[in-house]
Amino acid sequence: MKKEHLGLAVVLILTLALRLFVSFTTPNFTYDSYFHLRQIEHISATGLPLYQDQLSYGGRTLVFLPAFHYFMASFSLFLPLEPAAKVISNLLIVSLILLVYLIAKKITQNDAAALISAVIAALVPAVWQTNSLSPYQLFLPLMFLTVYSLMNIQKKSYVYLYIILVFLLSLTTAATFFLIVGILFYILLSKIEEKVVLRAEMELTLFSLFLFLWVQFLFFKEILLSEGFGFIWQNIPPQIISQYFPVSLPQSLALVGAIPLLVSIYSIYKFLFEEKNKNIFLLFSLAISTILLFMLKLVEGRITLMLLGTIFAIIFAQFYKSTEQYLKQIKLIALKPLILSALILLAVITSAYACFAFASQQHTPSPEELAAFVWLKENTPENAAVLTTLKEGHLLNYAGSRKNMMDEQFSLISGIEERFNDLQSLYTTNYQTQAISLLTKYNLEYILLSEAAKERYGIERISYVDKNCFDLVYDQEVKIYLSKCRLQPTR
Amino acid sequence: MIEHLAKYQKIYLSALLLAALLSPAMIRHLDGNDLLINPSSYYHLNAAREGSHHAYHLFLSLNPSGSHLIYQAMCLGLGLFSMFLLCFIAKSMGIRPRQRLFCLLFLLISPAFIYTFTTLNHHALFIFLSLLGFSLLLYPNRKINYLSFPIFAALAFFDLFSALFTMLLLNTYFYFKNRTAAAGSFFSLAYLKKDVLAKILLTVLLFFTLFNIGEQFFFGPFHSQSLVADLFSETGGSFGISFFLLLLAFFGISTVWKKEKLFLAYLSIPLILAYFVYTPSMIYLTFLLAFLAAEGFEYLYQKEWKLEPIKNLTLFLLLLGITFSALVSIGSLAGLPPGPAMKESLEFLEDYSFPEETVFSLAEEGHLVEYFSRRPAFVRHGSPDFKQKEDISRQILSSTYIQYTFPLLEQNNISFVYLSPKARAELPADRGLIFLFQNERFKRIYSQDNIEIWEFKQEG
Repeated sequence: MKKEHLGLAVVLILTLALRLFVSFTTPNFTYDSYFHLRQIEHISATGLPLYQDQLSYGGRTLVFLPAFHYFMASFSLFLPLEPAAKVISNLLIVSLILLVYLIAKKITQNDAAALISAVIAALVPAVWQTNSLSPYQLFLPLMFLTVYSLMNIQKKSYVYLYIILVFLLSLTTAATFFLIVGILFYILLSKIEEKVVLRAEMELTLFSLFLFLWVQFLFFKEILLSEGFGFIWQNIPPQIISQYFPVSLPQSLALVGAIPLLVSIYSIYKFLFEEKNKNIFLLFSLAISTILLFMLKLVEGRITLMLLGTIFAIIFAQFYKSTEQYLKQIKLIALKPLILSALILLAVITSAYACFAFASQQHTPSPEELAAFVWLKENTPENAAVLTTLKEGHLLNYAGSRKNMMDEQFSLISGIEERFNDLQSLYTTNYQTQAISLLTKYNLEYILLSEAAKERYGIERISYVDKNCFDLVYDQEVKIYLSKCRLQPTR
Repeated sequence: MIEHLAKYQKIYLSALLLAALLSPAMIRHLDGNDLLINPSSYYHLNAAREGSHHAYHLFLSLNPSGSHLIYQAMCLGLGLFSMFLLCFIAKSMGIRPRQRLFCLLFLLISPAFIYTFTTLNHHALFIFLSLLGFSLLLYPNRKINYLSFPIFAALAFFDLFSALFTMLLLNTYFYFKNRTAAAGSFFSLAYLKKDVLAKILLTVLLFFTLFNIGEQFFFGPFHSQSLVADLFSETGGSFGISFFLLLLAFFGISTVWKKEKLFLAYLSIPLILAYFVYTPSMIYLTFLLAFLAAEGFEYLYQKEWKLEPIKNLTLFLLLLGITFSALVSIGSLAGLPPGPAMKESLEFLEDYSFPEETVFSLAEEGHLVEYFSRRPAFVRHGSPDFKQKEDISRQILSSTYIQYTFPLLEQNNISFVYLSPKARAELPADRGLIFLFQNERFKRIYSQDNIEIWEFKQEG
């Protein structure tokens, strides 16, 4: 076995072990993961995604791409759902390291550079949400495998692989848009720079574009018709849209890894128009188009940072190789181990620190909180609706099997801004009449006050709750109240 | 296969067009709704009933019985005849059968074409007459060419934009016809010197256009315009362009680049500019886009691909995408108001109210209110005082204070408020006008199928 392959195996095993350790020592999943868990559970039970959801928003139509959920459901057939979800989602992210190695190797033809890229990819902070379950975990490896196929398109088997991958990607997440735009940008830049673009590349790009568009139109027809171009922003209430499309530079720097970012910016600046290697040119194009889409606020911050972190890890290989050559050129080859080791060490240390900080800050419900949701399932009427915070909405549907007022699937919900304000008022108002009016409006029978809700709204208790209209039915760390009063219509 | 389709294109395209144009009405019929599609259709019906002298309303008055089935047949007839005229024009212009097939295929199943010939709107007649005029002009017989004069003259009476656009089309036609005989640029009009027919025709048209100066520049719009939403059919624009058609048209432009045919793309400039103030101009733009898309499709079809299976898949996807837009459009059109419940509620209002009493409703439903209840609607699209009325309407809908709302209702003689399911969904219940319904001066007189009518008691 080659030394680098052994090194790669160590990186893969170590990363997986570390991720699983963090994942299993942190209780439960991140709040948004419960939406996916519920869909996977439903597919395992019925074979179909839950497009008509009776619990979300008290009953609504959901529209989403189901490939990730089917993929995960296939494992949950012979493994318990939650452990399987933790293992598979982390395995998918670890497979990304292997792909980074392969792409970096393809670009640089340098084993050491590729291995360093793999190490940096293992430490991209943005992908260190070990307890998260999201289609992006499938999207990332599929996307980089697609990029790898495109780099090997001269071989026929890769053409077929590319077609299959683009089809799967189109069914996994609309973030495939990154890839399509990136490749189009690559062709455009190549034409401007008079670089050779293979006919097969052009043809496959055209095919990918139409396939992607067609699948998206097919799935999101209803959303497009009702929300128009607003579908890009997923009907997210304006009050919280900045959480999904952030522009905070320091946070972005930390999440993609400061050193790989700086190195990549330098590499793109230095080599974009000089580089003969069309594969690195493709990666530059992907990075630039991703940054442009991000700056235009057309894509979510989370996936952008994951993608950029991985691309930058690959570009680091090219930087390593060119630095090595430069040191040779200026006859400072003796200093090579020192300079490069220092650089790599710096990259690893800064990224590793951000990774663990990010992993330890994952928002997951505590076991006590989860117990309250399970209590709801066992002790409340089946069609009861419960007031929870926005992020607890999916958890209520999954663990409590009760209707929520609101969750983070906003598309196709009318009056989202008003609903969001009402949700906030229900936790913060001092007026019982207003609260009961809203509880009546949304047909809510129970109120759940968790630590997360207290933190979110800066409250210690719900001020309008009294014994006349509310019964405290669950009194632990989490409190659950039964609302007894209703406002009757005058007519 | 393609060659066979191209050879018998008239048969296949007619069948396709019939299916596309009949589908919305058929879907509605199966749903128990035989009413004409789209509230704006009722503007034209009201105008025809009131004896308007607009060319389109005169055309509608050819159906004195007012039967909706006959109106639908008139729309279908205009669509079918327009298709045959297009076939004739394309053939006369020497466009190859296969390209003709692609062009007509993309056009006939475009949302704009389906919309134009399934709802009542003046664009349908304008398109038909323009095509008829050009067909007569292209006919290889001078005497028959002269028959196009009254038709082009009639086009000047639609609105000023139509008149100017017809002149531009005629100029383009004559420029291409005479470009070898006369030098000079398009704008120098030098080519007119050699062509007596062109000179007479353009003078006649100019005369009628000048005669119409002072009339409205655009006839309509009769719906709430939105530059973004009306642009693409996939994002809810009834007559918007298909995204796939637009992509193909971009390909088309790249293939006709530096060719004479690119000149046609310049015709899109006035239409694009017009779109910013009058979104239905997209209907005419679709004709050009269909032509360019056909060029693009032909290019992709003819070009030798390195990955042949990918070529077939890509072309198949393109056709699927364009078909998808057509199906979405058919579904959306079938779901447009009015429905029998609306008709029933408004006929109830006719029996309940006096002819001079005004009804308040959403602006886009004003024409429906007037048609079925025969009572004046407070606000409706296309009326001369629309902007002013829309402002008052907004104030009435948003105010929660009776001191503010009631005088507005009284001053404008509003006696009834008509709440359709759409209005109920759009308006908040806990504030604004609906909140005020708790006041004793409002009385609910109708409530069925999610439709409510409220009577407002005028003081004194």
